[in-house]
Amino acid sequence: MHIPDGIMSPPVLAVLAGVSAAGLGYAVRRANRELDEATVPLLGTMAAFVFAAQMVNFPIAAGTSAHFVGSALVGITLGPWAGLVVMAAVLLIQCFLFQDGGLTALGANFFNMGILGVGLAWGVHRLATAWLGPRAHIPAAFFAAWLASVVPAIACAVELGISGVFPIVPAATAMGGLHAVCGIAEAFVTVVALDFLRKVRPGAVYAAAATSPAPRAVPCADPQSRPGPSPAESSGNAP
Amino acid sequence: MTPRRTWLLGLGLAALIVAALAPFASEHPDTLERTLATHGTGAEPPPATGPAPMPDYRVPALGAGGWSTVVAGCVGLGAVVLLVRLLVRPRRAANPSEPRRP
Repeated sequence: MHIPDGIMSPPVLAVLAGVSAAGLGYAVRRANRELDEATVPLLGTMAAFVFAAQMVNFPIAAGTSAHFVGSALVGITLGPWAGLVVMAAVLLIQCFLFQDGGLTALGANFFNMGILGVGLAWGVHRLATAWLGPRAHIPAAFFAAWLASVVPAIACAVELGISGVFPIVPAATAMGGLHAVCGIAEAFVTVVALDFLRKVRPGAVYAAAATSPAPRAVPCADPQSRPGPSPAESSGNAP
Repeated sequence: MTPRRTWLLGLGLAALIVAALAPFASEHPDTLERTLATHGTGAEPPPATGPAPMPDYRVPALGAGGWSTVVAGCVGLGAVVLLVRLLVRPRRAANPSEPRRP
């Protein structure tokens, strides 16, 4: 789903680049404020995992391939801000070293797979676990990951449709349909990875930490080792 | 889990994916390329002209074989980790309420 150079119209590119630059700048600031040094290994290894997994294209229907994107995995595990920083690092390296995704389309790709994908997955998962409790963690993650595959794909088709590359409705239907299929794989990999993380590193899940009675939402937190939250902190949006 | 174990486990798993799975990745067009081919009104996208040294996840000097992908992927892993390290500069040191790590 990485948009290459030369197909998106300059106005669409410019708008998405602007939104993405502002979003990334804000995310870097928030991440640096929320995180502590102990979270860096988790961020680095999540970025490495997402990069590696994105290299593995697998066939879906009719001579078409797709790969794991990881928007939901990083959003749910690291929270929206650190998740966006990780996605940005992956997309930047893919673009500058491997020509995967165009240089001019970097903003559009970050908007789709980062801001939309990470933000949506994190928000859906957080709402669902806040509403239904921590036992909804895995089903909510599954649905959030599927949604984070389908919605950015439709957005990508709409952006390219506005650019005049193809008619919006059939292209958005095609992209949405293909991603409804590969979203299932995305969702499976996401929940397997979350389950693995929960086993090897309890407390590594940002949203679960934020909705449980345990402490402020910092991914590295070992829930037992932190003092209780203040009401402002337990919202997950501590300043 | 100590930071060292996190790095070892995470990077080990990522390297395993690059070495064991990436060389066998499907060469079929991806969902966007497929949609462009089916519904696109214009010509093919122009050939990429970016500065990327390893287009298509292959080291040019190593050809198009599996090893080329593995080497390119490992370089990418290192670069991604380095970039995360550059972007993430937490204001706080490791949380003092955490148990001391050996």
